[in-house]
Amino acid sequence: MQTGAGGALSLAALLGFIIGLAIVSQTMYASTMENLDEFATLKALGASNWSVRRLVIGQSFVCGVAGAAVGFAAVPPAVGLASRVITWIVCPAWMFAAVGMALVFLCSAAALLAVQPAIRIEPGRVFRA
Amino acid sequence: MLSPVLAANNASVIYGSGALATAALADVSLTFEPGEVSLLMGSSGSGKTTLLSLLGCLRTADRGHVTLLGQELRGCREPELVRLRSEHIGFVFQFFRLFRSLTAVENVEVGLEFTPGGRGGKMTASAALDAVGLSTKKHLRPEQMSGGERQRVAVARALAKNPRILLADEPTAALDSASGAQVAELIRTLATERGMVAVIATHDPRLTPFGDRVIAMSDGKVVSDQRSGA
Repeated sequence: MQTGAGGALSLAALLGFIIGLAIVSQTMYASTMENLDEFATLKALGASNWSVRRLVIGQSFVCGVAGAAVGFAAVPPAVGLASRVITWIVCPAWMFAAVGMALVFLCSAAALLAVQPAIRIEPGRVFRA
Repeated sequence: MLSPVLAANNASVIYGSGALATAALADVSLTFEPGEVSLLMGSSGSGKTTLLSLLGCLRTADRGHVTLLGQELRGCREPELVRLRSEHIGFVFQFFRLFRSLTAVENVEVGLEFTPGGRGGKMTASAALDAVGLSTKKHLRPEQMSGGERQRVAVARALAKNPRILLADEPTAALDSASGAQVAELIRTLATERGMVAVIATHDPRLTPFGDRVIAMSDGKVVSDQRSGA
């Protein structure tokens, strides 16, 4: 029987991903903007644009992994509670891997969006008070 | 004939275009010698900082030429300027520009991070802090240090990679007289010992005794260039 529940859940997951991307990139963007002077200093010290990208992507992954750890830890008890109401709920192991891969993509995309101000910043800014 | 370590030849920087064009630097020609401390002096807007930016590969001239170790900088793309900065140039800034969450030794290591080979990592960072007299303060964060100590960390960060050129922008402006004199003397001693080109932009006349050469600037032009004893 086609209940449509699968499609609805997939849509919810997609929306969750888009909202997550927006939240993470917004958070990373705000963090980048707050630290533009530090990025300018790094560039003056000899950091290339690739180094700056690596740094922001690294920060994004640290945030992503911390968030995922909390989220993954919450899944089993949440599934246990939900299964009392929705008896057919399942959470196979491959779903963790799939979410992990989506997380890598989400963090990379968010970081690449957020890093743009740091890439554009002129290192000569370090001489301004 | 050997090419100078650092030289500007009729270098100009122009902001704006057409009728609104303003020369921040106008036909500046200077040559800098190893081991010599040059003071760039002049009021705000005289072109000192723009000249430092040019000499430090932070931007290129709109007209004229700047050469670093014989390499013409005009026309260099950003990756090449980044390479030159990371390999050959150390900076000291007015407000230190240290990273607040890092200790003194970690701040120096950050400067080495982008230098090819890292040049010794922690040993070099630690040795650089020893050289500026901060052996006992390596694990303090900037907020736990005085202004003079912070600036010495910044000097250590600049020196750790053994640069050929040290550029300092108002390095004593945020310091009291005694700390300022200590930092200026430190830069002078290290520049002489290591044979570095040192260029200090300042409007502080108290630094004059620490320079081998005083270059006065006004309206983007060099108005006088005197070596001490000359």
